[in-house]
Amino acid sequence: MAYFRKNMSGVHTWTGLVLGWLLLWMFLSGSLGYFDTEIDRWMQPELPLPPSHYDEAQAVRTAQVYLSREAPEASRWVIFLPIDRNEPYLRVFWAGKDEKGHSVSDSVRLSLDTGEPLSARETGGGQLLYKMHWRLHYMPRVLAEFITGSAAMLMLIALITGIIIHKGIFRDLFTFRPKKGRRSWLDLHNLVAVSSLPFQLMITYSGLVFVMFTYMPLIFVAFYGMDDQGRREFIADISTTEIVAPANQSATMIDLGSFITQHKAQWSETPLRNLDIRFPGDANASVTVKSNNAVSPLRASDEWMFSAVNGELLSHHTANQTSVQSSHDVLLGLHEGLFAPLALRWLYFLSGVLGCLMIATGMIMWENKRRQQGKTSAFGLKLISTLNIASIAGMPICIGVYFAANRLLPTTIAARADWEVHIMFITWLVCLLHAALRPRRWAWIEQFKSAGIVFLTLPVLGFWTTRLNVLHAIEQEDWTILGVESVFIITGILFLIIAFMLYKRFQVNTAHGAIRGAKV
Amino acid sequence: MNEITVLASFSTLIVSGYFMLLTMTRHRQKIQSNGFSTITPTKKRYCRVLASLCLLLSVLPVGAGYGWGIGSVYWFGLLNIVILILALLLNYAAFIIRWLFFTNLLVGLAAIELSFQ
Repeated sequence: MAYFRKNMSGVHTWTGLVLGWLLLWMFLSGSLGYFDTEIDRWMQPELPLPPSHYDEAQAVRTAQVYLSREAPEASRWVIFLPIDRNEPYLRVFWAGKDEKGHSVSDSVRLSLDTGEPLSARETGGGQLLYKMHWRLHYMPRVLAEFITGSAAMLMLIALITGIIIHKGIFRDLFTFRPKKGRRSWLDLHNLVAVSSLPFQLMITYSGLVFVMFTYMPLIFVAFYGMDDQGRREFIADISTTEIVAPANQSATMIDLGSFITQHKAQWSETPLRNLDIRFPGDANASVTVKSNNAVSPLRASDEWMFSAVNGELLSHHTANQTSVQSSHDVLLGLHEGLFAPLALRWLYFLSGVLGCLMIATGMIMWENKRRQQGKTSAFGLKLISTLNIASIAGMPICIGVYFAANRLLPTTIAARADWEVHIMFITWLVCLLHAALRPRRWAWIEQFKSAGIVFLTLPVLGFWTTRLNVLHAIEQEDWTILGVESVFIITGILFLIIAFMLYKRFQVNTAHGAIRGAKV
Repeated sequence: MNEITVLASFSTLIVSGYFMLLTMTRHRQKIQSNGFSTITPTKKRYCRVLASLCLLLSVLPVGAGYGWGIGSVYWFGLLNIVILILALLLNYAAFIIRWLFFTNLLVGLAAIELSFQ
């Protein structure tokens, strides 16, 4: 058993290290993704307060009028109702083909009062940050999924081997011994990992389920082939939404708002999430009404499909699915956490941050151990040290700078959203260079200090450049903005405390004549 | 009312954690202010049983308040928080743990009663 544990220890060490820095980014951006719409709101301060109450029928009518005017030739309209924090504004989506036959689509948020698009600065917002969690950036989607999927696979192996090698996992559940060097790092690593172990296992495994067809395509290919037609057939087979072919004859659609009012009794207990209109304006136009699927991890929703011309009920599917589909959906639902109320969302976020801490402590332990053993080459140690500093301290800086760029870039420049991201990655490169060129202990202190300053500056930038600030948020009872700015302030203070503690520790080490930079 | 169920589960988990800490010599020494560091095997067994019972009981309020799907997710999150709180308090302010136990015992009982009304 000891021999087995020793081998697993080696596997745990190397699977954790190889893509540890990427995993740190995935956990950091993924954790922020649990507040993606809140970050969106902060990054588009021009947007009004989301509606707390609204007339369902009137909202649908408003959307239909807009779509009839702006996208009459589209083959698909989708109206998303503002029912919760996942969809805070009335939003419409349309898709179709242009004159040359290319697919086009667009999505717009509408004002409930005026029916006109809500205008706000162009930004990727929290959605882009969250999507980078698995799509990364500057690379094709499939390649990104391969890379992040590989990282998730290594993460799962690291978790399982970590459980195997941790003797006394329950006996040491509450054990944390500070100020004992490497022992303290190991205790912290174990504490954050074991306390959030159910979350870590769930998030990693369910993350792999998201990309399962990328990694295990043969079953799918065997039944459906490799071409686009096969993919469409597969999606049609698993989807409960039946698409009726267009008749290619024009017809007047019913007033969807009145229609909603008349049929509300059928789904009165469940808020509507969206209306999916296929081939609007065609004699075979259909509207599929979906209930809110973010009320449980299961993600399933009831669907009613009606003729959009005469209102006849065409089909009704309940939320019950096959056990296979339910298993798949519940894993994805648990991963996304869309069902989570506010307090649970904070628990999700905290667990994600603990995941970041788990990875960070693991990488620091790897570096410290090899530095003390003296067996690793100087170049190898320097490389690991640089990557550790640039990731653990540098990634928060670049995220803070992404937020700051949102406030500082002129709202009228072209490709504004792209430039916010470019600035974020340029900042990360600067952090990498700084970590490579500065002495190790000063690099840690300076980068944590910089992270603290960046985050504390964000509320000031908001006050300076927009009407959105803490005082205004209190006055308007805008708890989203208040929450986001409060988190910035707390995060900034925490980073400054860390920088100060490191500074004091290194002062003590230097005063006692310890080897410079011996301990982080 | 659902927030009460979260409070009930959280308090019950704190109580469970306290009993669990009493069964571990090193941790018991930190939280017992009178220097009492030994415990009979029978009392240790009772503490373990009480800890397990409270752990199981803590699932019920969030399960009743939010349904077993969301409730179980909540429970794992609360368990995470409680382990962290107790581990950090053990090192930096162990004297608080006994007060935490008594407070949460009372709050938890009240919250459980309100949860199931």
